[in-house]
Amino acid sequence: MTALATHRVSWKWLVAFATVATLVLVPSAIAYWRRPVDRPAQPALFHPLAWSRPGTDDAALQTLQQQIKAKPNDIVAYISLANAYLQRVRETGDPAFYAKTDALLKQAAKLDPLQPQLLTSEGVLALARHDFAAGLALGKKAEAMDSENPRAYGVVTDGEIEMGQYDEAIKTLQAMIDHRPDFSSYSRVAYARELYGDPEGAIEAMQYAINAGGPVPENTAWGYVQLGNLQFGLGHVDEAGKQYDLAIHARDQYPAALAGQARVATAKGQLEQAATLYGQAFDRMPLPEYAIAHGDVLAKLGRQAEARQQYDLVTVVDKLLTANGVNIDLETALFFADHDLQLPESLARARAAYAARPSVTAADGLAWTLYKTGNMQEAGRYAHEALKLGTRDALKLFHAGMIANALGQTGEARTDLQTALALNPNFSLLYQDLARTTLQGLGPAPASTPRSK
Amino acid sequence: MGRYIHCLQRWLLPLAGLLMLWSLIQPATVGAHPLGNFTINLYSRLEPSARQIKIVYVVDMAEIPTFQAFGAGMPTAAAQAAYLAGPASALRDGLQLMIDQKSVALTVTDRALRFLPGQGGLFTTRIELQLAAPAAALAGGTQQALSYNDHNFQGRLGWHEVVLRPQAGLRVLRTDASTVDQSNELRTYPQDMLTSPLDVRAAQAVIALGSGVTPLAAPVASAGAFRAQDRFAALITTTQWSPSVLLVALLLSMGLGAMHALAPGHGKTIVGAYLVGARGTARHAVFLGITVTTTHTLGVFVLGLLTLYASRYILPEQLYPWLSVLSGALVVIMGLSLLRQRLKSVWPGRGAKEAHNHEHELDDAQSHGHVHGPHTHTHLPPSAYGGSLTWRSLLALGISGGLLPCPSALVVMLGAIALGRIGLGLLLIIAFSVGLAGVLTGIGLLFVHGGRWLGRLAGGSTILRWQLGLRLLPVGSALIVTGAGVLITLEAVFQAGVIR
Amino acid sequence: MRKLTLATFTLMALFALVVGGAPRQAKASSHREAPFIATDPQADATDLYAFVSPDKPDTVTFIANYIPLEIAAAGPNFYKFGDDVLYEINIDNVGDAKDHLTFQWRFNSRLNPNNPAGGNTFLYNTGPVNSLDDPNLNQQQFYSLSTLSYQQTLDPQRKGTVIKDKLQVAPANVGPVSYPNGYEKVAKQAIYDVGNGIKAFAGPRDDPFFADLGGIFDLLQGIHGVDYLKGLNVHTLALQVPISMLKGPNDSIIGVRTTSYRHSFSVLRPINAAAGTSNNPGSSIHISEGPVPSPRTSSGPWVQISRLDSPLVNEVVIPLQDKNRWNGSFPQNDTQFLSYVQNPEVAGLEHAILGLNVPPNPRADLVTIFLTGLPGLNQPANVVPSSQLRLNMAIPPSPTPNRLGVLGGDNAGYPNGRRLTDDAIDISLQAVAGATPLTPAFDVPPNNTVGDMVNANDLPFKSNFPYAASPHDYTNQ
Repeated sequence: MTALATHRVSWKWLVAFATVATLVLVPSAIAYWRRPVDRPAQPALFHPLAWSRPGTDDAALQTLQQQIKAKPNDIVAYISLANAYLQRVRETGDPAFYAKTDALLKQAAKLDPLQPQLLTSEGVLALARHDFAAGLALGKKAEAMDSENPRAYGVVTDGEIEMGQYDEAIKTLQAMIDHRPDFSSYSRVAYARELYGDPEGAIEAMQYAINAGGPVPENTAWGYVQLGNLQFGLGHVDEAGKQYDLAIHARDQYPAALAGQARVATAKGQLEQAATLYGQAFDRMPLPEYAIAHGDVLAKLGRQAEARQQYDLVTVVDKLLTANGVNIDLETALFFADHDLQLPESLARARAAYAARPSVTAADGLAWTLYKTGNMQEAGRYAHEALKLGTRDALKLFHAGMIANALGQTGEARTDLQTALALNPNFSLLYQDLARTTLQGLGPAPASTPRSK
Repeated sequence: MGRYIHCLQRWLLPLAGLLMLWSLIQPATVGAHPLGNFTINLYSRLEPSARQIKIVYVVDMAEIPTFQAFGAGMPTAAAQAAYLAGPASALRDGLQLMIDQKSVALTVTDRALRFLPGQGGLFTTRIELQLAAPAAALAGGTQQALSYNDHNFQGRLGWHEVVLRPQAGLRVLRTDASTVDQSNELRTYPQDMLTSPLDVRAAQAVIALGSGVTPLAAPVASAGAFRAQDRFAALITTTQWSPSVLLVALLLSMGLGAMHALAPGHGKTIVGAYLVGARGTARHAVFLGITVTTTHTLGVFVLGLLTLYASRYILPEQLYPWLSVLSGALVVIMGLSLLRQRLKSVWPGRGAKEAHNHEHELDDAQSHGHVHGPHTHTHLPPSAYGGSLTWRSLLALGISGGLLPCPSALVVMLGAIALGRIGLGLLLIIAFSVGLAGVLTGIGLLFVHGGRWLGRLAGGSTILRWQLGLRLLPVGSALIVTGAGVLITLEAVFQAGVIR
Repeated sequence: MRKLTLATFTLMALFALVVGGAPRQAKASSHREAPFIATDPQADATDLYAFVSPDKPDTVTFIANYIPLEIAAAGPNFYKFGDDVLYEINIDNVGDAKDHLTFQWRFNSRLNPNNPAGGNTFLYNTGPVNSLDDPNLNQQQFYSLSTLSYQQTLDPQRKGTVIKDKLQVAPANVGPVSYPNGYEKVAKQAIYDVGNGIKAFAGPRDDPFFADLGGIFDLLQGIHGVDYLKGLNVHTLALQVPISMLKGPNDSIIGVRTTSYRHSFSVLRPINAAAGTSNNPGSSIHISEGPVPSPRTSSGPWVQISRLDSPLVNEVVIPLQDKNRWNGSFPQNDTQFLSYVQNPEVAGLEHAILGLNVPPNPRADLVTIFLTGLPGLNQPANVVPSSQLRLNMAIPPSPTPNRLGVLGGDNAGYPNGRRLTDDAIDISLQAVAGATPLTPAFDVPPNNTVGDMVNANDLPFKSNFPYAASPHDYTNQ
């Protein structure tokens, strides 16, 4: 065996190994990042789902489940069941269905990872889990593959709004409604208008949505709740109450509607009833916001111990959410700030939330936590950003007014607080009185106080 | 023909090795709680017999309802007793049993209350009631219509199950109830993506005396509960300690540490890949294990202290992904330098001697040890083939493997500090780390011996080319180390939110 | 204790990050997010029929059905046409794939002002109903019927010439107690003579379609002759029009479609429309006092969201991923769907599952049937290929209609127009199997015998306008 031969053999082996390693590593890495390269043929078009009654009742779910069992290669059935599960979470708040949805979509991805409807559903799931960046990316991918898919536009719109990309969001949304005016696009228009300071226009669009809705009762109920919230935000307590009643009518014991009725009861001074309603809402869907509002009502009633139990409940829910891998949210940061709990953490979380999704809502939360932790200059900056779209939201305006006041900008503070109270005198059980006394403390406005910029 | 077989051998074995290594890198999924944290799950089992109708009633309250009922922490014995006598017994009133359309009174014959550790340091509640109702005399040839309804916790989400299990001497003529217990008395919930949570609150049945009918077999009830939970973290909250309890706890910690090591992404891949490439010895494997243990223990303490005292300035949750990045980067660097070193050993390049046998090559490879840095360092004795193993690189490897503290260990650490049981916590964590390192070392040893076995296979008098092929194994494993590092780093970078 | 909370709290955050790579089991998130629903039953067409009226052969009857799978016991929220939806039947009497004559419906609901409850109830009816204008009928819906010329359809506002306004929709069939003198007596009052010999009806009817949908869509394998549409209702738009008004310049052949539209509008309203606010980013905020009436800004274009012509084209020929494209498409652009017609998947299924020997792709015969019409029967001169329900109005109605239409030797039936009795499923299955005169080699058993074993509707049809059967109520669903 000559040295030369050895040398040549080594060469060959080197190439062989490099090839093997490449063959193993590269596809595996690609699989790992889920960027499939191949697109299998479309399976059956001849599909019963084109006819099936949409819905998420047990029978509908069972039909879909059986269909998958019978035909495990039917990608449409997987996606349809995943969508039904996603709707189920809306209805029950049961997060167990997120895991099931995830499993279904993974299974569907094995059949055809680039199916636009699949990508869209993955986007919806990401959004529901508050992974807005991922949701946006998936939505864009789906949109690129199927420009006629209105759901993809919806996912992109939602993602862009949450990521603070408002100009893009408005464009996407316009394309969405121009493609297909329906419940999905109308209701998103309503939200955009609300953000841009046009709650009346939002009410109009939401009414369109409800008219175009159906036949899923939860969606209709959701629409009425949004209408109620918009009316409440304009200080129209009775009108809001009517909408919440309609929501309950559409779907019995709908938690968001119960919470809405609680809000109306609070505004009317019926605190006992409000407490009961918030409790019922929480029992049906344990959202921290219900426990927070419940605690605030109890505190107002002087039942401090019970209030504290509700606040502890908020912490517990937050803990569990975090343990389940949920994106830490603004809501908790604001809750801490509002109740002077764990202020440094509150600030850190608000900062993190703003970094992850620089929306006006996140800016508002950050501004308020900065105010609560004494960083007035920075708070002022974010308060301005929070109102950059011209949003007419009493709580945001109150935040801005208090911050302006702390910064010595009396004129601005007066305008903001006046505006907030004029818009909705019952905007917050915690703060509406503080808004009034602060405003009184500022004294009457001079003959003409142009708001300084 | 023979050529083909050789070819096959040449390709298949290394390929199998690489595939095996790859399978170790694959991320696995971590199970989550089957039902939501706010569910109240109800289970009734009707056991009609000739004399009476027995009902086994189980309520499984998840973390949030448990908190709502009891507040944080384990309820005191007094509170438990009060609950059992009050609300738990009152559950009876929500159960409605009718025989031939007439309501019958149910008596609670036995009751038990248990708390099981749940997520987030919270508890879940398990209420077990045994109820009984006297059955009206059932003469031969007559029938009875049973109707059962569970009205408890209306409107709350959860698994609702009713099971019918007739006892000996009784026949079920018709029923809409299931005779199959799907959740093992609310201990295991089916997690299949194609099943929705069961929602059955009522059952109807018509029964009659019957002979020769075998009653359905009762399932073997297992003692423990099977909720997904952090059992290691729960150890620190144990309230009564005796030497034997301590011993058990330490052993359990080791076991859990060992299991943790088998969880995905725990450096074992790298360890394995490294050792198989480096032709390490048992000593190396043990040294590596010790390094991992030490790093891991230290890491837990540092991160724990940081959490407690420095979270004002830096949130550990923000630090975590960066630790992963660091760990990944360390691995990449190591992998690359290994690769470079081993490529040189396999294919000496221009600078090396033109003619040499493979033993010379080894010397040559060893002389390239300086790629690790300009400093002098201890060289291990040259191994049989391929590259060499330096203590320094082993140390780096061990550190990178132990750098990311296991979260359950952190829970224990923080729990220990909060509860003032620091010594105990330390012991538990060390035991945990030992268990972890034990498995990692074991895997390493497996690779060492596996590598030797491969070597022996090739060792005889077969062909030099085969040996050369084997010598390329180190190159492949260096590639894998690098690849794994890249993956770890990328994932960590994504997690840190640098790239979106 | 505070320390402990802090510790566990942070820990859980860590936990989250570490477990982050694994599938996350997430919370029930706070639902700011709007839902995603693809369904819009009010605007969803189920079937379209066009035939020379058997009892008035100088007229053609059009029936467009909307709102699929209505169950009879639908109270308290009974189905109705969409007030925000524009419904049309579009007619091409030139053969150039353009809508030369369009009939349009616009609906408007109200609570009966004459109702004794005075608008304080949402009940459908507050007592027995004996006529359309019965004060007990609380929920009323009206419509206006217009025609549009081709030019008028080009305007996004789709404004036409009103033929007749304030026509009332037949009410829901709530049940026998609500209609003591029979439902049909009331419903018949909703048949209007709107002038120029045109008759109109709008309201609920029994779904005239009959098919073993379950079996067919289970890859043809589950066929066992069950009419899945038995007992279900639809909302019907029916129109009877003199042939003289429909006839085009060249011949008596018309192409028919039905379409529906909803409003699109500007996402952000013009600044002056928003109530006293300025939308300028960063500017100061002024709120006018009190609520401001919101002007309806529904001035955006009508967007076509549903299209239907020949039966089963949407369901069978167009694949799922192209349904949205199809629903928004116009006949002029139908060549984009050409390959679906030439290479039908159903033919593949018939071959694979039923073992039929089918004509090879690309299928010129199906292009003729679906896109151009049959030469000598219902193909217009100089036809622009497009999917339309084509009817030669010169063919007189058959006194003894054959359910297989042209395939059964009865040229007055589908695919020459479509009558209520035509068995669209069997005709389509046989046509796709090649069992037509266009491909005589395949017009043999078993190809010309395939079917779903459902050969007639669950209820008999009526002998005069609007022909479709009375809607089911909860007692006979």
